[in-house]
Amino acid sequence: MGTSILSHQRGSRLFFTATWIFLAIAAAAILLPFVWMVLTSFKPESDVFAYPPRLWPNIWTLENYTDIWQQIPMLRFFINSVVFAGSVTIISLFLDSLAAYAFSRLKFPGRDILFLFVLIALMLPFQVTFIPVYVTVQSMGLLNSFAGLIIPRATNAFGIFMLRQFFNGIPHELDDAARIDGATEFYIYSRVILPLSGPALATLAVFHFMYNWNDFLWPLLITKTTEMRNLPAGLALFMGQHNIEYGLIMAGATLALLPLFIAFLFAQKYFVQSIVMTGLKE
Amino acid sequence: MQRKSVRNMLSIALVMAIAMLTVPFGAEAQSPVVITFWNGFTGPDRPTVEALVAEFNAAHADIQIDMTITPWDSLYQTLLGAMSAGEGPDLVGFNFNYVLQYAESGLIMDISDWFEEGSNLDLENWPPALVERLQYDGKFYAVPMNFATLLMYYNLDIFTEVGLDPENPPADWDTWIEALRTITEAGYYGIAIGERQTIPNWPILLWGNGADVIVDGKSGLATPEAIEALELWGGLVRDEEISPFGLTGAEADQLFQSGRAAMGITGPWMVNGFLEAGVNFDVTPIPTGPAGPVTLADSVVFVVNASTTHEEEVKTFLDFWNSYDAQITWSAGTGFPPARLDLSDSPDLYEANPWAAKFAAVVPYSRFFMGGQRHYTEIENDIFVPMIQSITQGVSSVEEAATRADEQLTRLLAQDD
Amino acid sequence: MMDNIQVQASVSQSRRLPLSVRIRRALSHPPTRQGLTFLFPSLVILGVFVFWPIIQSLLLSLQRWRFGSSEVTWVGLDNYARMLADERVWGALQNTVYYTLVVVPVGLLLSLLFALALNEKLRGRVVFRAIYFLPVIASFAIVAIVWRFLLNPDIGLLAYWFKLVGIPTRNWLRDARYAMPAVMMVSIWKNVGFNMVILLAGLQSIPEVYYEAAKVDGANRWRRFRSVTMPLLRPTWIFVLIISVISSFQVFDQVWVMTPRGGPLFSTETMVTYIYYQGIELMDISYAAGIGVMLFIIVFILTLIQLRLLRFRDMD
Repeated sequence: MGTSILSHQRGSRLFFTATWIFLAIAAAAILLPFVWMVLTSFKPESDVFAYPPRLWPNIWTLENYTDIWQQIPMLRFFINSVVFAGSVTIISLFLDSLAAYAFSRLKFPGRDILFLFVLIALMLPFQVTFIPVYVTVQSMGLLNSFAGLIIPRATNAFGIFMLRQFFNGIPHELDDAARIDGATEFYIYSRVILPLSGPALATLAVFHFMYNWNDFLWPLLITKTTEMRNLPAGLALFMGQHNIEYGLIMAGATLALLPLFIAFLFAQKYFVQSIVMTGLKE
Repeated sequence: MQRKSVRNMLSIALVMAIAMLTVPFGAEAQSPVVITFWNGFTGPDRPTVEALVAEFNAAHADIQIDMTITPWDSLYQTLLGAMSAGEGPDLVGFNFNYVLQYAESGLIMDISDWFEEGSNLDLENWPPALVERLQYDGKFYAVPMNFATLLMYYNLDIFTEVGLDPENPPADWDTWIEALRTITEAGYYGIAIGERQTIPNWPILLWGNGADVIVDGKSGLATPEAIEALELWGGLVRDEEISPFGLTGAEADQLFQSGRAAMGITGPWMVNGFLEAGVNFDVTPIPTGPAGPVTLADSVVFVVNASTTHEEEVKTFLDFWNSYDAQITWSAGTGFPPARLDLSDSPDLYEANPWAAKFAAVVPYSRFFMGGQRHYTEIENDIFVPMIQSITQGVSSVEEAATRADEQLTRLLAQDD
Repeated sequence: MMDNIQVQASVSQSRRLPLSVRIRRALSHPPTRQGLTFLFPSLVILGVFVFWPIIQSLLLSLQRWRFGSSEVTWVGLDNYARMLADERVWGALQNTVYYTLVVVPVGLLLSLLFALALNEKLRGRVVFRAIYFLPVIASFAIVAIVWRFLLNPDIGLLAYWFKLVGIPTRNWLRDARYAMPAVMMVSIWKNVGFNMVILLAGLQSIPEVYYEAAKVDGANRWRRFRSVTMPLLRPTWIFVLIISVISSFQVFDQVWVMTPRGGPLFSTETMVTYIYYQGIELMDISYAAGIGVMLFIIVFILTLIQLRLLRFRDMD
């Protein structure tokens, strides 16, 4: 399991302890904002900006959590988020990996130029192109539909680039052997390369899911009715122009973060799933 | 091999098609006329907007208002996208400052003939300053949705603690400055002044001294009155630290809410938040400067998409919104003063929400900041706010900052000639 | 490399033939056909929803169109000329470069350290990994609310704790001198887990056999890191580096939510926040498109330089 540059070394105990302490301190620092977020979600509004500031609530309350369900159709927003982020993740993972396979394993004229085009797709920010994108979606009659939300996101230059790099790291011996045995490219893609890319695919899946789960503007731009709203758009309802309902937002943020966190913990299993033990040693 | 790749392509297409078909599409319009309506009343005002819309929908079987509330930033961005493509909602509520640009481009409807004497859409109902903001080029394009004025909030406990009379808050600049100094010496901030990302605070201080950003279509930033006001208040912030510098509106409110600042200048929307947070406070008119009493007015207005096919239904809704009862409900729920003048001294209003009545009391001398000014956003963000910031952060002297801003503003205004 | 030369040779050979013949010939060439089959869905979607809008933006940048004005006029390079004279653009470019020069190296180094450490069989590494990744999955809006409170010098938690132990604090997000460092700090906090996870996936993909072989050869820890880990991780860290540079040149969300509209005295104004301000707040869409195209050109050149310096083709 895993690969290690440190293990099985004498005298490495001290090194491990030092590393562990460093990691723990970093973890505490990284965690602090989340601790405040979660604890604030249990504070009554009067406690949030009390001075002197305190991390721990003076009074614990579940009010924010009960209120938020009454105030907005959380379940509906939640389902929309799952459908949107879930479908984009699955479809994009498939299309990204297909394209990445072509860039990594197939040789044909124009490949490098096409790859440069993929890179170019990363280079113009959405803030510049959002009006033309909107007009395109509209002209295809896809406004206010899940199709309009999902199809433009069904492939992703970042994902193609990332998977190409990972595929390039997989030794060619394996697929060459399969090719000699007469396997088709699709067979090599699906039976050789993908099974060896567990960590990369899991990582990309988490990225896609997370990015679309948190995306606020795109769904807002494409959908018009309240039934189509997703979770971030729902939470934004508590951010008044002048008056932010901190307790409610923090409760909503905690609820929105939880599924992502669970998804991540689940995907972790695949991050460490190693790989190449299957075939390389021969 | 080739047949295989064709098959692969087909299977890809199939997978995509299935994925598209299995996800549900949005609900289609039903028999009643559906009016789409966007506004930015997120936060604590939202329940009241929703209640009024629900009340209207319940009373009109043939009209259905489908309302989308998003934060203002996102509303303006999505509106930009939608309107560029000829889409967009039937009805929008947005800040009065946008009327000019949208009216000029023909994107919103000329509704001059909707205003009728004696109806709920009677121009006599509203303060003249507000009526002026509903127009562009002599025609009417907007109907008031809300109206707000600013008051000074002050913390009763801090006043008592430092020996000021909480019953008698400062009413003019001299006593105000004295109080600010007393409080600051006692270890609090005298006041939390919002500098950026805020409902304008600094312009009120200029107005109090008889200055303004634009006077008769020309820059007023380097006039003696303006420099005097900037020297006075800039000095108080920079040297005497009566307020932290660089506060956003939200930070200023938090500072007041935490009990670290004794005063703050903001609108009716904070009343409920401060009450809920347990702050012991009251509101009072902003102390009168040498030039007489003044405060800032702000308004969200309804505008109608020029491409709507449901004018009558939209008009019915706007009429309902400006009715006596709906306005009372609005004020009761949000603490905003009603836009209608005939309501501002009504006992019904006081009974519905005494705070709203206090905000209504200063309507007569309230002013819109740069109303009807085409370059509003640029002037505020690129000229006015940086000027204040370089003064309060001590980056440049008042003289320098004001002169530079004056030059920039003069150049910008000259573009229109 | 060999293949490239061959491809180039065959291309120049066929150059004399008419285009249609060449296309037909290329399509009858099985590898081309296969390649295009695999790429087809992605190319169509990228073409319609990415390249077409990019072309539209390019055209827009040659026009004068302010949202709200009914006329659209072709103005050639006017928007570009205006840009050269706009000191805000130059300020924004400077801030963006400053941001990139700090956030990319520091962020990469930290994430590499975390990835290497968490690739070890340490107690609790699953928990650590999850914690480091948490900021990545939090939404920017929430992150901004929390950090603005924590960094608030008057009522914020960090400032209060610092004061208790006697560390002087700053007016982080309000002072033109400190706003950018504060934003960079939050950016690194937000993104370190992102790069860490990619690097971890790369580390996990290195076959154990290479380490074992190195061990048999008696290579020590440092040698194994230099001769096994770094070379085999190369495709991964090249990817992370290129992506980081591209995305920090396009930094928007972190900066806008922490310090909207350029921050105190425009000290945190980046290229994309300025584009957003011009295009969406001032509704000067064609000027914003022009700045966008200029940013695109800068990023494109930078990426090409990186690819060249890293000898991307030979190595990957």
